[in-house]
Amino acid sequence: MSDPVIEARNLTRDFGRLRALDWLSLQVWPGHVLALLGPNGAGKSTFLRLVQGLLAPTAGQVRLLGRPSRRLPADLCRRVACVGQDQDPPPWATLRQLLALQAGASPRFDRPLAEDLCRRGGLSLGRRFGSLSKGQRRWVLAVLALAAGAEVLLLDEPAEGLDPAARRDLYDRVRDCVNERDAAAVVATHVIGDIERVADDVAIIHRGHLVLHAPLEELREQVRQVALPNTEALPDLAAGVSLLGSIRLGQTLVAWVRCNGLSDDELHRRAGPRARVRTVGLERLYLTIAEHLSEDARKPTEETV
Amino acid sequence: MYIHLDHHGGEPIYRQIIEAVKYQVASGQLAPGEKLPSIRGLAGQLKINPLTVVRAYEQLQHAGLVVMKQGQGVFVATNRSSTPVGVRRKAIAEMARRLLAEAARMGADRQEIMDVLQAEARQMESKP
Repeated sequence: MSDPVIEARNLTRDFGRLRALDWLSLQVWPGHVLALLGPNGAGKSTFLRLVQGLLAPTAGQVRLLGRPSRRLPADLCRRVACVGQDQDPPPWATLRQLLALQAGASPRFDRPLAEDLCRRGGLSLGRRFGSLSKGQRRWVLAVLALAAGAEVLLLDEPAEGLDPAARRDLYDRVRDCVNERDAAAVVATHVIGDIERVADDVAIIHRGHLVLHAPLEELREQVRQVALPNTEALPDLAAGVSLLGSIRLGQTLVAWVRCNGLSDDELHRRAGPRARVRTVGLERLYLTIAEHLSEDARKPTEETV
Repeated sequence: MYIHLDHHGGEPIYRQIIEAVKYQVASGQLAPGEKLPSIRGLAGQLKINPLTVVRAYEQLQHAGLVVMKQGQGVFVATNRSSTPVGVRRKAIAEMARRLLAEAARMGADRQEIMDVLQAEARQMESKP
């Protein structure tokens, strides 16, 4: 197997007294799209800025293409493309100039692709960046990153402000880039539906902690929703099953579990004859985990130490 | 080969591909010996990881529904008996439901539908 493209080990970053990222370890492999999920302020952008080398870690380390990301040689920098939150090009630059700039910085720049994507966005190359709407600006930044011919794509909310068709188009192109070049992409977002289609792996960050990192196919295989009508307390589902969260809807208790290899039939047998067992999409799973964690945070014993 | 994927229902993608191919083989939309899309091709069409397609094709091969030939591609198995009875029944039931619904819309009763079915079957058998 090839080497990881991104390798974070115990990565930690403080801003004053705030710990934005806490002891985070994860790897991203070539050919993979990682969906980095979490509420606003969870640490997604901090993570991406550390990976890009724009920030120095307080503790731990992060390697990009095998090198510490703060000391990435120029030839490796050209193999990385980013869409950030605060790296807008100058407003007076025309799209033609921006394409030329990117072509100069990226030896494998795919000009036909860039021009085609601009056309798809309804943008002529004579337009100035400053004259574009918010969504159009995001589209242009994404076009520059996608056409850069990079092996690593670091995209922070790349689809912000885009309409649904453009979001879908954008993520399809990310998948194409990854498949065709064996590239790797990290997409930080809190809009789950679009990225769920093309992602291979999901990482959920909550208050700087990595709370879940798993292949999506494995989650689809393992996570189940168990609905129990007229039930007071959750029955003991026991060995090997981990409870991710539960809520009460009227008389029905709904629980989400990771069944770790247990068959649906066996889960059904343990949950009782009235239980309904079904698969769960990523959005539901994400909300369950987020609510579960927020409840934990409200308990006075947690996080006050 | 057209496959519709549900990305949000929580069913693993590789299994949706397996089910779709099984169904299309059972219902005759994919003929024995027919070539399936390449791994790269299907991954590009469905916007998924090629490894997911590999996983589906390998399991289909294991189940005897497709044959992967080195350097040539993936083909629907020519051995017809390899279609599992359960899948076949499901596919036929689906077609039957459509037929019954359409026929009912035109005002046909069950006897008439059965008569037509029998007549058509006889006619197919009499052909060389």
